[in-house]
Amino acid sequence: MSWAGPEDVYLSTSLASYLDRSFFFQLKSVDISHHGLNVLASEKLLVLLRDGRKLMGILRSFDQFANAVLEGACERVIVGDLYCDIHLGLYVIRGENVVLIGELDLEREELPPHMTRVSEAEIKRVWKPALWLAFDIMGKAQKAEREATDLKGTMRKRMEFLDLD
Amino acid sequence: MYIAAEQSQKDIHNAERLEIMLFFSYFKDLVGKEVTVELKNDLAIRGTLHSVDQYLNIKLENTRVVDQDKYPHMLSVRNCFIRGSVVRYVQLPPEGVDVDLLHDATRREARGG
Repeated sequence: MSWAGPEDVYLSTSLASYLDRSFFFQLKSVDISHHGLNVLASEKLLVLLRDGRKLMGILRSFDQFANAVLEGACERVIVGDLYCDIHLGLYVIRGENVVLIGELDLEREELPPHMTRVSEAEIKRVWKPALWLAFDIMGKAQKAEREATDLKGTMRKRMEFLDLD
Repeated sequence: MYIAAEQSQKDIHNAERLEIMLFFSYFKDLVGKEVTVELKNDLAIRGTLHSVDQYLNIKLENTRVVDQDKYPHMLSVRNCFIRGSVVRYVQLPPEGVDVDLLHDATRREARGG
């Protein structure tokens, strides 16, 4: 795998300048063992995907489409006031799915204080009913929409019957 | 006849490119101003426009999400890169819109350069 360098002319400019400031030069030149996790942790990113998923990890490569390689990626699942980080590993993200890439500021509070971290098993336990509820609401909405369309159809038929001109 | 058709194709292509260039340069002039970017997933982010590129990808600094409570994961994001394709609206500061200038530019482009 070749690394896209900031000098690559095809890179989208803003992403390139973003990266050359925060990643490539620092990570290449800084002795990571010296600064420990700080260097890596301060360069952690949040990638928001189109399906609403939130991935966190270290950006290792990217291109003009915002295709990205995330190292040590984990997904942050938030259900109400509970959250959990599920470890995923190395992720290659197709650019079209990217909504936003945010630089995480570790000085700031990561999440509101009222939120609690729970285990993967626990989050999955609460996640499923929440998902089913969402599906249920979606299903009902679709049904209502269908009924509205049907009603419109019958009304139009009645109007046609009246032959108003 | 064939050449004319080809030429008109080229003109259309150029016009499209120019149109993108118009908004590109328009946004470039807005760099440094405070804008609110509303995304197609209803997330609205306010921040200082840091840069924009030919895809209208946007980079914001000192960001803050308009509806903080709904998006707690965005709390620790201070700078971000937004893919141009997911943007629905960009809300601009009133002083950032020069209507006359835009009118002129769009008329010029409608006339074909």
